[in-house]
Amino acid sequence: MAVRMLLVINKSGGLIYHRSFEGDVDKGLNSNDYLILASILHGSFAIATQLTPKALQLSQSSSKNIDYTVPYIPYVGMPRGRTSSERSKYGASAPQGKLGSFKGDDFFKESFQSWNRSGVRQLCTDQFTMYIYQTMTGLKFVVACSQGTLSPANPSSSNNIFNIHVADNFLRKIYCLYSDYVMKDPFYSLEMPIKSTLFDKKVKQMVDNLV
Amino acid sequence: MSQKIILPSTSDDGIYTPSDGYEYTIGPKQSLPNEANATPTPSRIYSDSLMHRKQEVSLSAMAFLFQEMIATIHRASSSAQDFETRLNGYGYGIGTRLVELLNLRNSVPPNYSKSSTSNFLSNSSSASINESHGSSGTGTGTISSASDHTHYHENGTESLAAVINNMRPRDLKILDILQFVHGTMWTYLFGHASDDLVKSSERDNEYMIVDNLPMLTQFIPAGRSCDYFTCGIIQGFLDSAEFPCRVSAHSMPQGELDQRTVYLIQFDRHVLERDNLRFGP
Amino acid sequence: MAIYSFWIFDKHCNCIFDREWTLISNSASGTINSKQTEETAKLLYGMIYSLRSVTQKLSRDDTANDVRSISIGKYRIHTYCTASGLWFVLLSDYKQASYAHVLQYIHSHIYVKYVTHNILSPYDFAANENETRGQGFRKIGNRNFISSLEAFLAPMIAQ
Repeated sequence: MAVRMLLVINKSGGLIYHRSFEGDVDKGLNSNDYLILASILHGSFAIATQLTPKALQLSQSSSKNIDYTVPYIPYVGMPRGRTSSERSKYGASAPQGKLGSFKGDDFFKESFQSWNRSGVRQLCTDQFTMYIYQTMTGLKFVVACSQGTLSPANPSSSNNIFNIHVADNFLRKIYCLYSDYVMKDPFYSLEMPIKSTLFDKKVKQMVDNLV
Repeated sequence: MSQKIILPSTSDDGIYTPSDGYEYTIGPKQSLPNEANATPTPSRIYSDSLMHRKQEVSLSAMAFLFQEMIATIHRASSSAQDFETRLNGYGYGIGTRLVELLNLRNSVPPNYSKSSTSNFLSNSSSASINESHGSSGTGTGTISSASDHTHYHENGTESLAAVINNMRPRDLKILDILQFVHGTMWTYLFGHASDDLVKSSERDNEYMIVDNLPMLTQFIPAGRSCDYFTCGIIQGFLDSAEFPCRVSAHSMPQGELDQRTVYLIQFDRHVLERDNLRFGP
Repeated sequence: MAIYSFWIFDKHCNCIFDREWTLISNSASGTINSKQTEETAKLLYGMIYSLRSVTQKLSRDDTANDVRSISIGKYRIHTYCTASGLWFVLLSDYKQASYAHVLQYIHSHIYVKYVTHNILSPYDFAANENETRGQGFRKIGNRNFISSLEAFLAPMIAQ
């Protein structure tokens, strides 16, 4: 699983949250480098839209056939208990383990639409895989993990579609955390770097739950 | 070499489906793009029974409102002291009203809601229940969901007063009123009793109410105390119940509970003297 | 499974070969070394180049951390970089996980055989200093190379 880092990029390409989860990732990169990195990702995202192959542009049907629904994958990033009652006991209802304003034992239980229809969703490299989740408002959540998948249940999965779905589920929950702990913070100014210690803590908790 | 500027707005939008996710130059969309072809799912809210619904307010909505209130006060205040005083003032008004409201609601006999519900369901089939209420007509207009709601009959007269035989006696002892705050008021406001009620071992006029996860401020990171709103409610409540006091909030993390908040209540000296005179030391 | 286009870039950021199929049903359709795709080639190169700079910055040790594939809404880009600075880029549909072996085969069995071993083909496609920064226009026009590549990729187009 080993999540290496998490970025939140606002709709104009500015980096508003950056967190590395393994100490050595930070070598030689200062905050300015990360700002540049975020803008590059944002830019590539826009370019990707322009690059749609002609074959896809010509055949309307094949591009319409693509299903952007992301299925719900249970309990990604949630506390894992043996039974669902144990899970809910330690998950949502216990005050210290509470991750947000949702009821029940998970943020959501339905499949959802992906808003990232023409941009980069997954970037595979030799050392890590990066996933990008875009919200309807253009906010981007980026996660890089050392293995190909974020799924704790299926750590050796090489099915790319499945991996993207798991990551989308995970990042959507980070988005839920964002809407709870950043948007509801009266001292946060929009589009500015996130300083909330609570958000920090909850993100860490969720990342730890993946292992 | 020709320089063509990339214009994201002139992307493949026209060629493809009308929705292509987020469009950079347009900004957030006003309506859901998949609205048109999605079949509308009827909301459950219309088929839900009004009577058995738990009276709950959306936490998110409440948190947003509270957040905006904090931000407004914060902009307007000159110092931390000023900020806390203003926030306290906002809560104070709620507290003073709660004394009346909660005492009245607690005076409603516990079996009232049950009988009125059956009254509503059976729809004037049982005359005896109507009689027992001493109310007029068939009773079909009685809207009742839980005991803590105001009840009106069709003719507009308040029915709640009719069912209260004895008003709940006023709390006179310090411990009684604190129990009321700890239990009844907390449950009314936050849906659960507060986590602890402690008497200070150092000063005899100090009491502490402990909340492990304050409902209103749970999304606000530590740093500035926004719990003075709750302080204001407590203070307003106790003041109007003739227990003048000062209340302050203190963040006291304990183990896993790092949002644990302690509300310190300092009663005025004469409250203690009165308590001693009346109930003995 | 379908492939949409295939590109080769040299170490001077020049596109030295491009092939784009326009009809999935017809493997002979589309363009080879077309002028019209010049802009697309630049965008494609630019995007991979910037993403590559991101991943190399994030590399944990000094070994190059190359981009393998990029999944984009409707399609997927597969890249293969050789030690000599050549990039082989293939655009496929979004379902296919990896075309690394295909790109490797194209390099080792087709490119090396018909371009590198061909004494008449230029060693460097940028003929002078002015063409080393993406301004180059020379392409691989070798008929043997093209026909062999076509034969190899044709079965994949409409799978």
